[in-house]
Amino acid sequence: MRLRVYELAKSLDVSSHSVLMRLAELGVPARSASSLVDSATVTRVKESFGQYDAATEAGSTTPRQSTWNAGAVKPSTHPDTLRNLQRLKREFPVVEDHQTILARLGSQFVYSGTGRVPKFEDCGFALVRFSGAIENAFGLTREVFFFYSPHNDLQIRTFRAAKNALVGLQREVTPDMMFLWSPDVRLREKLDDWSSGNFLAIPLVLSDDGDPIAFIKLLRDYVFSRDLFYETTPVQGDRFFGRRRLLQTLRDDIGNQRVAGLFGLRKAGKTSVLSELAQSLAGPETIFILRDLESLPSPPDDPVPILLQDLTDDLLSGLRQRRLGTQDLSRLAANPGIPEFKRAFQATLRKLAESDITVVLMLDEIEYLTPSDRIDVSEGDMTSVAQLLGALRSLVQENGNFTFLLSGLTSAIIESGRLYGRPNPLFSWAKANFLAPFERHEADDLARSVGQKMGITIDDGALDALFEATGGHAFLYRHLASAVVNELPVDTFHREIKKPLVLRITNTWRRQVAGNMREMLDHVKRYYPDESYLLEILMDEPESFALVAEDVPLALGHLISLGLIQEVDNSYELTPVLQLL
Amino acid sequence: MTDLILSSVQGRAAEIRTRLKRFKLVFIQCGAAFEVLREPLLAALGGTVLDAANFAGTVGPVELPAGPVILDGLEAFARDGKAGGATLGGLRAKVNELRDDDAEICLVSRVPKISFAPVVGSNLLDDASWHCLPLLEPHECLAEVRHSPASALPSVGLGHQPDVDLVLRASLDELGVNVLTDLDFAIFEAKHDVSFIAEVEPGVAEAMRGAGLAHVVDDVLRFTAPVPFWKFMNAVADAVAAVVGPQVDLPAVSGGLWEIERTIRKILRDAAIRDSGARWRKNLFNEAIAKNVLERARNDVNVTAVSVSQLRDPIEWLSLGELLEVVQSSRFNGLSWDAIAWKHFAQDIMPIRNRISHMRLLKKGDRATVRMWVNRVTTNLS
Repeated sequence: MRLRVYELAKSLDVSSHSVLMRLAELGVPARSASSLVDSATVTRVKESFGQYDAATEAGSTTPRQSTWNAGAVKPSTHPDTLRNLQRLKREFPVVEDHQTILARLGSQFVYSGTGRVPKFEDCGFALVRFSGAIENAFGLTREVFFFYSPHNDLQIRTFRAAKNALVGLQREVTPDMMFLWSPDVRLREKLDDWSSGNFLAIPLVLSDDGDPIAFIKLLRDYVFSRDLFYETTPVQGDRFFGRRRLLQTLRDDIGNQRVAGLFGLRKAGKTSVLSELAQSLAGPETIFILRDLESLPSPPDDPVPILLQDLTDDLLSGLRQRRLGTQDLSRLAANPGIPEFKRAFQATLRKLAESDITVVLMLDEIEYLTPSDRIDVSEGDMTSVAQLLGALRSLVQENGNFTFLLSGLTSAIIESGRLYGRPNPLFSWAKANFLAPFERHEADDLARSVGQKMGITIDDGALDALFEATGGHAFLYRHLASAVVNELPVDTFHREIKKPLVLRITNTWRRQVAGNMREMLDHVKRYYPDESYLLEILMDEPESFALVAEDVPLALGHLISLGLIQEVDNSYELTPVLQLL
Repeated sequence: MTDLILSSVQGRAAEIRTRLKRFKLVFIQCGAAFEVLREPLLAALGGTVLDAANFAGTVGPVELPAGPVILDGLEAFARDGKAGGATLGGLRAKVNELRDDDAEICLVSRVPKISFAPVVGSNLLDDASWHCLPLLEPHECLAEVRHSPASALPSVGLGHQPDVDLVLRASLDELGVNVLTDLDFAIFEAKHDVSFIAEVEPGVAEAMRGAGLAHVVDDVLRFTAPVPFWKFMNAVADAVAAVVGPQVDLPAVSGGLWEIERTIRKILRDAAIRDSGARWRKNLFNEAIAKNVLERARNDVNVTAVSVSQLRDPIEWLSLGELLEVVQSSRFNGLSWDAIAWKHFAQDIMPIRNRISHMRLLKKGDRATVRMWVNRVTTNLS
């Protein structure tokens, strides 16, 4: 159907000017808000704004109750469940209404409890299994937590107690979402304030008429408002994607007591890999210590005294958590020297070996020990760093239950023959692993899985476009996907990302991340001189690149491993990451 | 506080809260042009306002307050990453503790991200989502200044500082040397007119937007033009001239240049000695360079010298340009580097050397460039 520009704008809830601009981008002439637009163009414009006719044709923007019944869950018949649910209804009569609404949507309470939240015994909770249709539409795969509070003035401590109760449940429950009911008239306002991007708290505020679609709209309004792509802190567990081969390599390194380095660009996900590794290997027989060095002073100021104190504190904490002996480390003076620390650690490791307990130390942000942009790390005056690394190496060699990992941007700490005027104790001994961008299948897996949790499907063309624009760099990929999601409508029941939308967002997005990319590259320049020089050559005189690169094969390898250049048809080119500049 | 200020603050605070909800860690640049909004805006965020340096210096675990945490005065870390005994890395560690507890944190700085000194490892400022405070719409301004192009700047449009020149100058001073040098290049060297804003590097464009001096219209970045362009040019020139103290990077850059040049001279000297033995000083240069070298030496400390052979080290009297010419002459054949390497070296280092020679301001990337070539010269050249 043909529409006038202003009609199309109205249907999209944008200005006529925006539609005219979009038409110009699409190469479709339109003079004014009264100009007619043919139906094919209407579809293209709608898709570029993230609205898809396919969804409309499927009727998914006009939900019917019957739609959501598909894959209905049978009511529980277990006497314990029924008894507990009855008790919850007695305490909170509103549960009866909720049960009715849920049943009309093919969903059921499957578990409940009252009086079991410490210090909040007057509260109750239940678990709901939603119908297949609802789970599918909103990316739910597990039961969902419903919390009931009797308080007229809900406090944040009750909210936190509810979250703790959710975490403490011995069942497979959706970990990052809950519904909360209380008679507090400011419930919505408070939950909106207290919940965060990583944890969704939905206020059970429903109309009195028991309309089940109101519940679906409530769910939609909250689930669709989330942006789970955007992450700038380390992720692990359900939020961690890909890197299976690298993780296995690192697990093998740890298992075989090979000291390894994990190196990658800023925001490539190094700390996430370390966190995931720690989580996947954690157990009563392994003490993982992840020590971030970023709060240390950096050479030319000596970072070692504070690092020794931090490591001592970390080890003591790890031992105390497991109720293991701490006497050797506890006896250390307030500011131990490297020999004293080594002796105490050695004694501790020997005792731990008797119980088959291993210690794995992970030092993140290793540049704080070797800031090659500030000091000559080969011959500069900071012997304590080389001494400490030498002591750690000795501990690995002398004990079968200790190893350590290093992580950072620069691999110089294990590839430089000399370190602070001494032979480098890690040279030709520790092993370098590089954190490359996601492979295509890893990126697709991330996009689809995270998208599903927000009720978004992503077509193959959109996946192509996301990968092409970012080269699979973890931070950039998530950042672009987040920017695209931000453009999707939230007032529909079918959200889909298609290629035109990604392409439309990409230009604006490039401007947003150009500053980050510049910083990332400046960082490379400071720590990788030969590699930076090679990049200059590839940018300015690509025909000379292969010849120049022959002289610095290690640097060429670094650039490929870091995902900054790629080999295509026997020649080299910049990856999309650098084309963003 | 006027109703106009309060109403301007409400919308902007709501935008920041929305952004905090989504991104959890947000950076806002709130400088001279937004000074009138600063205090009420931070109050309207409804959180706990803390001084960033004090917060970074606190000992022990961080307690999670209710509502967002607003870390003000971040600019204290800009010069060298340190403030009040704490480092920006230390602040990042503290902020991450809060983030582990799901807190929302707003970083507030008078200076832009690009004006912060680089940090060794991960950077708190890169973790944060950047948010630009919008300029005033005409209906948000006082009626008597609404007609003025500068009224979009809140400090002008809300009557806090009627002197636009003062606001502009304070904004440029806050933007810092990294931005000024890039503006200097775009406006005075590349001679872009009012369209210069499209030519500056991304970090500078972001800084200009954050300062209220640029804005996006129809997806295109435009100069806000609070004053006629010639006035803006003069303000930039004045701000550049007013930077009289040594830049933080100066010791590293000058030290690096020193090391680079002394290393090349030493390698050239060694090559000449290998080539000619004790008579290495003779026939080292072509006639023109030899004349220049001798003249310089005679005008300075070797008053009685009659030939370059009488100088302890004639190579020390070469300018960098002459040094490169000698090194690449057929006699020395670029030492161990090829012509491409020397071309890039000259392209990168000569402009920095000239800036130092004329005591002009260093640019943001100079330190990294010099460090890169120090490493290459000391490890690859022979």
